[in-house]
Amino acid sequence: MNEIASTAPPPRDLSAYKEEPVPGGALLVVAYAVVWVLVFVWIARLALRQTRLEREVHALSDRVDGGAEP
Amino acid sequence: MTGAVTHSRTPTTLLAAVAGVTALWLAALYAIVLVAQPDAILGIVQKVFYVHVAAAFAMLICLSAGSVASLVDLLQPNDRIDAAARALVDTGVLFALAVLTTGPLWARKSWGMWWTWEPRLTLTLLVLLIAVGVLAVRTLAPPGPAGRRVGAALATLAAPTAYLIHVAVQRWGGTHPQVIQGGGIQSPGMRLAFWVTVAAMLGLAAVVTTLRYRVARLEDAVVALRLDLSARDLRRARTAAREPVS
Repeated sequence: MNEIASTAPPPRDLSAYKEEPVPGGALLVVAYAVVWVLVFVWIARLALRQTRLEREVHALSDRVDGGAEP
Repeated sequence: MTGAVTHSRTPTTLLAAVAGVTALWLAALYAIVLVAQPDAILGIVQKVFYVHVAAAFAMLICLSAGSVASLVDLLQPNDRIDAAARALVDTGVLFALAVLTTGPLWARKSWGMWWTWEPRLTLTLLVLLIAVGVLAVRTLAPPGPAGRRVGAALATLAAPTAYLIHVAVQRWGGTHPQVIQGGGIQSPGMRLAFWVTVAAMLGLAAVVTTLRYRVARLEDAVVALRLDLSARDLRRARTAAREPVS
């Protein structure tokens, strides 16, 4: 038992240890900002795509109607 | 014109839904900031929990519903169900990205690390990769039944993975806390903030899915119109080839 105790590493000196400061408020703000930026980018992407597709549908419809076979 | 439907104007019901979701989000932000107390141990960063878990709910519902819609479309092809499946998977990707960005921000403070390969995190990354794979197949494959079937078959994997995400902590442990499944939120203020945020997030998911569904139907309309034009050009070319040269 004494032999085991003698081979154990000495206790670490934790007096110099400092907990790494993690700014909780900044993490919170970044989390909510990321979500809202993602949502707005996603909706803007959909809106742009919808506008482009609507233009394309109208152009294609005009071509189909304009060149209708007798 | 083809069977695909085009939407040139935003319907009143959708505008009403947007107004409702905006009101819900204002209520949710009020509850998060002013009603819910900061956590005694984690401090203010615990408030990431509300948006993170609500986004996870939206992700699981969208991807599971998209998976089921894809299975139905595989068994009985239907353009509307296919468009709904694409819309749900696309929206699921949005909320998976929200989950996988807010989670590490909370984990950094709570666990002391940005990421760990524990079961729930790994499965969430896997379901995101499945959903991105579905979107890649549908975007890159030429219009037609082959790409549609491959995309739908891949999407059916999302529902079982979503179920495994739901049960991951009970089955395999890991570092994720069990707040909702492990007894619920005790503080009334926190409970109010949580459920209002869940309602707002699900409302937002419904609105985004509806917008994406309209885009999917327009994509179908464009493909159908292009096919119509190609078929007409082919018929004209054949007629011209049969006519005698004068």
